[in-house]
Amino acid sequence: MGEGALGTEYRDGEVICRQGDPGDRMYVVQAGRALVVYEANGREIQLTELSAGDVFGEMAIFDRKPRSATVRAKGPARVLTLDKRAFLRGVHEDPSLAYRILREMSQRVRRLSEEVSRLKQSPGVRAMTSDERRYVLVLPHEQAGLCELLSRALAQEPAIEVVLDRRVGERRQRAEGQTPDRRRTDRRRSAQGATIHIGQR
Amino acid sequence: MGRITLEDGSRVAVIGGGPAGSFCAYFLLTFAERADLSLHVDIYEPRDFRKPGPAGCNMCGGIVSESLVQALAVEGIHLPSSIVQRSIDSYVLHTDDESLRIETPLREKRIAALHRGGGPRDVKALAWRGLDAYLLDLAQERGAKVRPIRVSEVGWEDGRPQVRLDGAAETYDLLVGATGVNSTGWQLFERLGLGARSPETTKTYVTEISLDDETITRHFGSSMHVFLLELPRLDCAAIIPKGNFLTVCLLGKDIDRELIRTFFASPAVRRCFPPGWDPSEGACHCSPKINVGEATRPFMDRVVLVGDCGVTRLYKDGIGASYRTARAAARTAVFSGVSAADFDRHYWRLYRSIARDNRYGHVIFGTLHGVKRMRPLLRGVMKMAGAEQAAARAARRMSIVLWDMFTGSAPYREIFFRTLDPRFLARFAWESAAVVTSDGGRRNGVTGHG
Repeated sequence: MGEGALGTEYRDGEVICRQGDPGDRMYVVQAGRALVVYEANGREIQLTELSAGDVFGEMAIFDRKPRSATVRAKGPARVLTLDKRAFLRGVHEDPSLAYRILREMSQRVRRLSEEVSRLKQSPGVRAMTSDERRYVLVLPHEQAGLCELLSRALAQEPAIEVVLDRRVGERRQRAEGQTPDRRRTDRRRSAQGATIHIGQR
Repeated sequence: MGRITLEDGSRVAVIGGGPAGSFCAYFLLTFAERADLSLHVDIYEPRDFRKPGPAGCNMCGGIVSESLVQALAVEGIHLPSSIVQRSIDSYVLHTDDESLRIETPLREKRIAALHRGGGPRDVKALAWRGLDAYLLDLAQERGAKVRPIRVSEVGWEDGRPQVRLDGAAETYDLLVGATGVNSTGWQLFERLGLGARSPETTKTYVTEISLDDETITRHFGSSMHVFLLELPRLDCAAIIPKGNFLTVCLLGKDIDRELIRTFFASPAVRRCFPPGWDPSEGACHCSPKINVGEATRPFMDRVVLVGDCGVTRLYKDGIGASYRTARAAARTAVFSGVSAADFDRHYWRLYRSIARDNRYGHVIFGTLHGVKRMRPLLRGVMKMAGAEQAAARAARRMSIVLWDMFTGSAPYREIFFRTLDPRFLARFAWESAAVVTSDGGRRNGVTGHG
């Protein structure tokens, strides 16, 4: 990365911001890629992958809560830091400055809504009420044996449900009718190779 | 008076394709798209910014401030390495006696050093694109049409501004003036009947020094070098490292050859350069005017001025002021209207806030001028900032004041009130008094160059 590169350079795997830390700035990826991971019970769930132009860390600026996820570089990456105060001063002067952030957040909410909807429609996952199970372990379709074993082992545990992810074929079929942008997003997710998803209910 | 608004198919003329004109065209078309409005935008710009030398140059130091780098990133405009010749993360403050490197707490490269045009007259290869060509391309990608014509005649046709060309005339629904202060653009606005006072200007001196990339990296690093020297008529000077060039900007009164020669011969400047370096070699230079007092009332029905021909920030961040005024004018035109009343209600507030902030800027630079002439105070500034840089967890009151003052990263009002903080004043008085009472000779030495 040459003399004209703006921002901070991060090595592969280096943490850019950490879940739980105070959110006093946000970031824009200038070059390379970064992974957004959610940490729970000592495990990591990869949420998404970011590339050049993507903004992250803005949620903590608006809701003034700690970072909701950890972001780390995937390969060498360069990231520009945006000051919270300068950004909010700009938005105060001209609220339309926040338009692009709002648009990105809208797109993210839309993607999450689709994800929730897909999970609810997935065979083996039924809508649950708040007094029912609290955790869902999702195993890839080729791990049917392990799924059965875990289901039996955890049958007496009301807070955990074990399901087999049967969506791989469906997702491929659905992707054929989607826009290139959506297909790229799905490719990113499948490329993550996540074997177990844990969703808190 | 009835409302005057832009409708589907409305035509806008932007006179001048520098940053203010390109930003205005870009945001007009961006906001119009959000409002489902179809606009036709023509940018009149006779120069080709891809050409090296004066033909493609807008005569400027070529710094994009960290506040503008951040604002553009939020907009989705990322300055690529193909135009940023060197990213800056610190500055070195030089006085006659000493030099001090000041870094931001983040130590991140957030200031872009670049050329506005195709590069200096003696550029050997166009390795980087200029900012003005890049921004003009962005406006064109949004749908603006660039007309390589110098506009020399304007008028009115049925209450609409008209650009009169050889044998033809183009009528528009809005005319945006973005001619800067180094052209005859103001006469066009007078012909349209804009009864405003033109901006007050002063001359600066800018020169480009050719050096190889390795020498620049070794001697100047990723720092902007600011000089506060006891030279009569020189307010301040800056050396900005770029790819294969150093841009040198001098600010003061009646800058002439003698003052330039004295500056380059001063020990503070000599110790930055390699031994035996001759400043007279390979220089491309100019004396552009800069806006130091805003134009009054920069709008009328269907006409608005943006950028330097209206108001800019005093001495610093002119490109940032162009961005802010261009964006505000475009927002007013698309979402409110193009009458004088609309600009008065929605554009004038931002315009006046920049002008008002410059009043604080005049006080700050006037104070700096006084401090520069009183050696104990100047040494107090250096000592206080030096102590802050040396201690990892110290409050960086002086460092931040200096950083914001020389990089244009914060409003002058904010800087001014920071200097009134009792803790700032007490520490500054203590350090200055210590200089007076100590036997002290002068502390020489550069802390952490390059």
